[in-house]
Amino acid sequence: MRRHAIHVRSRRLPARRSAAPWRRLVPFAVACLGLAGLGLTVGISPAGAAAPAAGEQGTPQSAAAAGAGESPTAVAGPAWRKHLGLLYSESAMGRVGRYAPDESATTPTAPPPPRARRVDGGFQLSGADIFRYNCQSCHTPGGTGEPPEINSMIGPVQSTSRAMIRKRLEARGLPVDAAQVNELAAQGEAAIRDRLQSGGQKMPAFPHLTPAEINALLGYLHQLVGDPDAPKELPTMREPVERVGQHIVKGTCHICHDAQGPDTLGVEPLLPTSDTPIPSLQAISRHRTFDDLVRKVREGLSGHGAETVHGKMPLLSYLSEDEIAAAECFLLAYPPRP
Amino acid sequence: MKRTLFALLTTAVLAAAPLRAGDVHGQLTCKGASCADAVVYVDKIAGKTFPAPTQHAQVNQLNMKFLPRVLAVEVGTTVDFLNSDKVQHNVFSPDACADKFNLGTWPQGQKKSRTFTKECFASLLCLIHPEMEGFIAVVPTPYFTTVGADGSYKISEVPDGAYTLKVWHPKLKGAPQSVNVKGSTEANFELGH
Repeated sequence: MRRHAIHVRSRRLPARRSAAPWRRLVPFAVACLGLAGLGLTVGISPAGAAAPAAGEQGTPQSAAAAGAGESPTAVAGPAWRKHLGLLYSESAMGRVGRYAPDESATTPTAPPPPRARRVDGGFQLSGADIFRYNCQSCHTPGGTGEPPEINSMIGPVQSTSRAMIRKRLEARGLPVDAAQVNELAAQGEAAIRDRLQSGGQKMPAFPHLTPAEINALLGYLHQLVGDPDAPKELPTMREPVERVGQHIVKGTCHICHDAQGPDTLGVEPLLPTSDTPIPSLQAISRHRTFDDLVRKVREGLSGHGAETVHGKMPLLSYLSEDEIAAAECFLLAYPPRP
Repeated sequence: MKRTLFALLTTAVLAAAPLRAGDVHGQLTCKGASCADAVVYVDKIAGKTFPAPTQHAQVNQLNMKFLPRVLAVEVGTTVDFLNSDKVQHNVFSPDACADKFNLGTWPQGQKKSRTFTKECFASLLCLIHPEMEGFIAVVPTPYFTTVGADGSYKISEVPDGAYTLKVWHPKLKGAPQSVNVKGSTEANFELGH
């Protein structure tokens, strides 16, 4: 099988094949460092170096891209699940979005949205991708969550739709007052925006999302819940590699992986338990080769000589190699902090 | 002297004694829906007013349901809407008689209150959870009750007198009745579409 090479690269680079034996041995740091001089937006610093100060990362390309208005910041602190004091076995957080594709993720009126695609200097993506990076690992592709621990997004999103509120009242034979419908829909939308900004009882906050990204996300969510007023086609925007990487790391990986920890990937037993250590993002970015990382994320194989081991890692096959590369480049450009 | 004292005592005892009260009871027969959501109540009594109840009533939001599904209260009652679920809830009503109120959104363990100041039969909905539906019946007298699942009802402590007895149901209709309460009085209703 041909696997496209590290996609966070210049088009001037010839494609590399996964079969190349040296690739298995290439630490991702080397691969990403190689990108630094190729006109990409990623500002690579050696692994372990201090994160660059805000504002140092911008290039003309990234500045021109939508969503580039705010520089990424390093991922920091313990995994969100650890922050909540939950063992792996006690929570489904971070690992319920692994089943892909999921037909329930789209409504009959909305065909599956196109995935983010690589463009020079970053990615061209839509609200569907913002959802995939930040929401799917807990809320499932269909947004239904895993009650009672993880709430469905469907009802809260439907509550932001004027058309759906109106339809609901009409179905019950209740009076429909336009002013009240507007007030309720605005209240529903404010609640979702507040939840993204402040988090909930268990849900983390998503301060890394810009207003433009939240608007794009809401557009997709309206499609997802079958809102008749949802945009038929999702607008796309261009984001630099490191912003896409930030989405994935903070919106998905950091649910289970601490930012920093022992400088080792550890040894994953065949039958992991709740106590089996989960390597930190820092250790992964330092020691995992790109090829291994992609296999681990997409296929669940843990690497050399242990091809049947899946470990605790959910299958995130809905992330492309490009996107995994973006996550790794973000970790290298913005080294995880305590 | 003794006669005067006796007369005074008799007057005082009579003045302090409550009006004789009985009950109104009966059976509902419902076609097309369960009788369980019905409310039977004594309609306005000419020349008679009642002080607003000081005790709050409560609607609990638990397991994605309004509990009770139908709450009957007297005009002037303050109702506490308590969220007992882990998720956030809202309560609003599209009905004009309830001033189309919308209490906002609040988390588990918290409650919001509203005083219902006029007679009203209103739907209670949660903006976030479309499947949730409840009702509030705000009636003009303290003589009311919700109906049991078997369609039976009993309103206690109704003073003797002539009243109009009404029935309300979210989906069904039933004709009011004139009743002359004297002790234990029976009144049955038939409800349909």
